[in-house]
Amino acid sequence: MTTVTAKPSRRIAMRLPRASTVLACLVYAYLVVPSLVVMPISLSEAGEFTLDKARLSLNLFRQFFGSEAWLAALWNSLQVATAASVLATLIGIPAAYAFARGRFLGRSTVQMLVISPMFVPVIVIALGLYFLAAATGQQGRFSTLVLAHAMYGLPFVVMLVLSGMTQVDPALEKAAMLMGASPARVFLQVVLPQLKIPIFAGFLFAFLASFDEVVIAWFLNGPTTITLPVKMYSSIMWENTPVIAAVSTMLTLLSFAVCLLTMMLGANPGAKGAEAGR
Amino acid sequence: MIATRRPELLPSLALFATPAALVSLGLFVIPMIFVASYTVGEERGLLDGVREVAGSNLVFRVFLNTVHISLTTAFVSVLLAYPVALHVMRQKRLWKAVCLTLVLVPFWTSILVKSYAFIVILGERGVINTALRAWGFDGFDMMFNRFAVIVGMSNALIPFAIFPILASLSAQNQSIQAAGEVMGASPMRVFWSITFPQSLPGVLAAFLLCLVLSMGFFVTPALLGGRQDMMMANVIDLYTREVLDWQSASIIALLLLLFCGLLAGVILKLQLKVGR
Repeated sequence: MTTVTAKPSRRIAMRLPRASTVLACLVYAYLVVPSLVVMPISLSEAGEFTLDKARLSLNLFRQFFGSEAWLAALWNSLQVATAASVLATLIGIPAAYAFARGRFLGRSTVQMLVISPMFVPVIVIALGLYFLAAATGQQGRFSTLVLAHAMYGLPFVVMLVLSGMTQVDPALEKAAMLMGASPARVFLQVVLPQLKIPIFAGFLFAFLASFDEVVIAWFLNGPTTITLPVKMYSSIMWENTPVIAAVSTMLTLLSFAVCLLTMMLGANPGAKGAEAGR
Repeated sequence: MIATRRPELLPSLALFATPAALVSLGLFVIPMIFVASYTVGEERGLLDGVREVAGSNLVFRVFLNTVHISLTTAFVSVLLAYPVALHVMRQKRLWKAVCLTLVLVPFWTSILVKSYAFIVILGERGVINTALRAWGFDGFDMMFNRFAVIVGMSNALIPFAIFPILASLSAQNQSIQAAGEVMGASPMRVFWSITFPQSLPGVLAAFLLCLVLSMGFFVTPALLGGRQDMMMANVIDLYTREVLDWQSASIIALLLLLFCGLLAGVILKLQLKVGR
């Protein structure tokens, strides 16, 4: 009986997925094509789109690596992103462990506090940081930007390590504790080795978040702390030089690499959220 | 066993969370307090400040812009995200990973790159206009207007809309659909009377999430929009760095925060109701 009714319905079933699949493919194209379009343009001579047969050229990349201002911005971004993501990782891991296993007053309040920058519009945080920097005379300082970006990257580290903690068996920690290990020793020798992948992914995302961040860096910038996104933003705004195509290509490749790396490790929060039914 | 019965054996670990708490306190809570305290100016009190902001023609127009752009963007994003979520859900192992990569790479790409890409595509001498002219048509004016802003913002927000919808589609009990099919319902009917109604909480969550995120957008309206498409984030920047009216900037920022907070509260309520 079931085979009789299932057969015609399967024939009709071919039609509906086709319509929605076509739509889905169009949306995939809408998502992916814009960043891809920039790549051939970055490899053209003048950085403009033409339908004529254009010669491939590394001219724009040469211009980028020949410009002191762009190189300085890249160097600033690398320094800020490295320092901020290392700091976020170093303070985020123990915090996530404390949120998962600790027992102290206000634990959930502190957890919410640490994660909440993710849910507040960045412009509001940036405005507050601008006021704070102005009031304390710390504007345009390298350290201010590093600390601000560490705060911004912290939620990524904490969320990833927290979700990694669900895979860690508490019995092992209890066993170590009963055998007399101090909390610090349990953390370092029992818990940390089991969290390598979420820690690495958290570090990568904190790095990428800082490296791509515009608004906070825009509000806190001084003459010596212009990061790559800030330089890019003001370039698009005021001069629109074709070098931006080369920068865009490099940034897209970086995002692609980070995304692929974390997906292969099975630690991409987006993919995870989709699978676990976030 | 012993440890679970005697909680005092478990360490408090408060020290482990202290550095993170201090960073959040110093660079998130205190800045927020600054924003709140600057709403009371030296010359104008809070009420006068609010009255001035509320009476400002610019702020009112920007507020309407923000609401209009955010609602449109959220609607477009959810509409376009749904078929993708449906498609991803129906894929098997490797294809699912490939499709998710197609969503995740743009998700993690810098908003500057995406905005710049749309300048290249929609601009006066951009991809579309160059192609149109080559075929003998007239070019279009697609840049520095609301259309460009909405195209750029939807592109950035679709991945955010896909995840909640995908989650609510994946959480469905497949045997109900199978039952419908066995009893002779067409795939259309199965979709519209079983799958779609069950995914509505996910759709609503996606819509609200896009709404919250789009209200705070800064880069895309600044780069793709014209003067008439300024959003709240841009006007905060304008008041802070050009007009130097920090009080008005703070009041607008708090207004934005209040709106986003209310919407976020609704999302949380929804998620609790659905039971995640």
